[in-house]
Amino acid sequence: MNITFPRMGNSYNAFAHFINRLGHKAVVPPPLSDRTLSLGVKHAPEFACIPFKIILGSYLEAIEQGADIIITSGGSGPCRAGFYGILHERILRSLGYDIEVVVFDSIYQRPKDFFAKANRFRRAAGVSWPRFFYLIWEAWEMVKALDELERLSLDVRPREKSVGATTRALDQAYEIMAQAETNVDIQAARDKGLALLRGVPLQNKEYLLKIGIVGEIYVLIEPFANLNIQEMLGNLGVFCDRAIYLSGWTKENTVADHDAALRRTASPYVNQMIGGHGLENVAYAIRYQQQGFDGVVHLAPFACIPEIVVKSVFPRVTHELDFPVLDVFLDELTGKAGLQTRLEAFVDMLAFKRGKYQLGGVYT
Amino acid sequence: MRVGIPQTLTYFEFYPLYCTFFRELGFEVVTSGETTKPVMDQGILYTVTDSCIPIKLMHGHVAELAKTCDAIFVPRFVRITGEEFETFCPKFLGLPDMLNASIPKLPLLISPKVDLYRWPRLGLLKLAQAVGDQLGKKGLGVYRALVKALRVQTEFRRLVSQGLLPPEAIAVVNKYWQEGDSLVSPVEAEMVRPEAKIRGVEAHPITLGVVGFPYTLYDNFINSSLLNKLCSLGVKTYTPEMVSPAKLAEQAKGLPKPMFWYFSNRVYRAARYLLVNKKIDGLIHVTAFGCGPDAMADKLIELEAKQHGFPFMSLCIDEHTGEAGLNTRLEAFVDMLQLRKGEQSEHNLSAHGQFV
Ligand code: SF4
Ligand code: SF4
Repeated sequence: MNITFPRMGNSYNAFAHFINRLGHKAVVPPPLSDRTLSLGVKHAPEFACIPFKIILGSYLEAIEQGADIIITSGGSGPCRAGFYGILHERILRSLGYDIEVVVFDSIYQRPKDFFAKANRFRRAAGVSWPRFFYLIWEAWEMVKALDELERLSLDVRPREKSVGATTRALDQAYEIMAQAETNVDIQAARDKGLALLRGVPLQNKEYLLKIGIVGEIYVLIEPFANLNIQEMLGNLGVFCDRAIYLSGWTKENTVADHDAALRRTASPYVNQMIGGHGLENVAYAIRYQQQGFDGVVHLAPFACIPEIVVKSVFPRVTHELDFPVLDVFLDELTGKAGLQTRLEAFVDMLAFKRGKYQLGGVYT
Repeated sequence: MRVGIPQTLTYFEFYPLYCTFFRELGFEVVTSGETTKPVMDQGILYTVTDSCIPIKLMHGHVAELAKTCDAIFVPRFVRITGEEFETFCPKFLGLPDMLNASIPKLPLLISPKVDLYRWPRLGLLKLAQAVGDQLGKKGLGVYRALVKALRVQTEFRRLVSQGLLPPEAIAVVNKYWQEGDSLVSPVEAEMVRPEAKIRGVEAHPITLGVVGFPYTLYDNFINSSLLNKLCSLGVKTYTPEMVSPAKLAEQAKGLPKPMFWYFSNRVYRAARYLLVNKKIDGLIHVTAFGCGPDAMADKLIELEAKQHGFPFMSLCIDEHTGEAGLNTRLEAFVDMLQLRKGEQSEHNLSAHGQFV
């Protein structure tokens, strides 16, 4: 089986690793490009959210590379993402591709369905269940390692001496990771990658500011979708912390009642799970405020349903907590230059608020 | 005390229940009236630009009520059916939060959480109690009001199942409240009203399925009187509300798993029912500008119509929907259907020597 999957941030390394180790052939979707996007835009409904379009375009490119089956995740909503797979399949079929999209729903909510689907891939590959789960665990270790590398890059980039050094080191680290086979290799690759990043020459300087990034998971994680906002902010000398990683790694992860705590934090503003990461994002923003961050960038696809609710309540958060939020809603027309200008203005404003900015555009 | 009920979103589905409940508790009930240009403009003012048009209208209606009411009833709909994962669009889920954050000088917002998935009856009772508590009403009175409200709601449903459009059925309910006669007698009288009648007649040249959310189909301002227009073109229309719940439920099999949104499921299922059972000559899907679920449902319905070989048109309504543009599109579509029908019968004539 030539298997492909949705491309999202750095996670493709881990997915490909898992599929290949299982004994199938992973077709890694080509790096996302303008071509991907325009393919998606062409065949997706006009008002579909941007992740839907990008992923559709990316499937089409993977099919060109020989993919004949797609695996993806489902979910119980209530947002559109849980329904992507079904609609993607119908659209691809209507375009004449004989392709199947296998949607894995939550193992907790539909265990039977999950195991039936998993079994298909396991049997075709001829591996035992214990081995199958071992490989899942191994891939998960890689997801965590990849995210750890990315987190460190956020810390290093704003202080790097020469622009681009961090990004180069990170790419190199990903490449080393892609070569890893066993878990031992993964851990070694991780250490090597971390060392590479730590080795980036730094300017002896503090961060200018600290900004939190919250928003819809896909555009948060996939640099192509967010026009590489992390790098843009880093190059402005800003340390940014991203609220959501695929590995779910957050500082609060150790707290047992993680979800309940988030719900409590958000409750004055949003008092109901609204799908996506809507409620969580309100809570994350409030936490960033409590942790002394200067502001928050709120990233979301244009017309994203839960994030519209969040966007509607953020003015109240800003007002009551005196905490600036920049809403960035992305669609296929959003340009890098425009975003850069908005970010610069936002950073200037925050620096001014902090008293780190003097007239004439000079930071102290 | 005056309780306001916005005349949009779930109004077209549950107004008789809301209205009866609050009246029985001894409150004055007012609605925000039909959507108008000022209501819409207000709504636009209070919402973020990329919100969908129905949510903008909702903000307008609530702002309208805020001027005169002591309390506004905006329940938070979470689940109302026996399907575990069938909830509402995130904007319904977060509606009270959005209103709270956006509209200044809001009076008391009565927004109990409606989750009737596990225990529908008990859930309703608790809901009634929660609302009663918030308004200082206790005891048997609340229970009695609920029972009466459910009875009126059942009557309303019956009227709709007989072919009245929800706004027409609501008019009957209102008349009942004004004149105090029984709910049954005016029905027959209402049924002979011209619009109602034309839907009852069998010999229409064209029958159309018109599917969409109740708050887009029955709001004559925002859809530029779409249904009336079709009526005057001599078209017989079926809307999702005219398909019985049992028949809708059957159509769930059209998807490997249901969508997560109550209203979208109903729209999709009604469309599929009409297509599969060949009740119609063509299908119109009325979508709301900026609606997330619609972007998915519209494509599904389009593919479904294609598969069953029916002409399909998607009509997107927004704050600029002009009557002129709409009329042209509708007329063209109906003309096309008529032509197609004519051709088909000619074809059948030559092939089999008789009309099919
Ligand atoms: S959360 Fe936003 S981007 Fe994700 S499926 Fe929902 S609407 Fe689309
Ligand atoms: S279902 Fe669509 S139209 Fe209705 S509130 Fe949600 S996004 Fe708006």
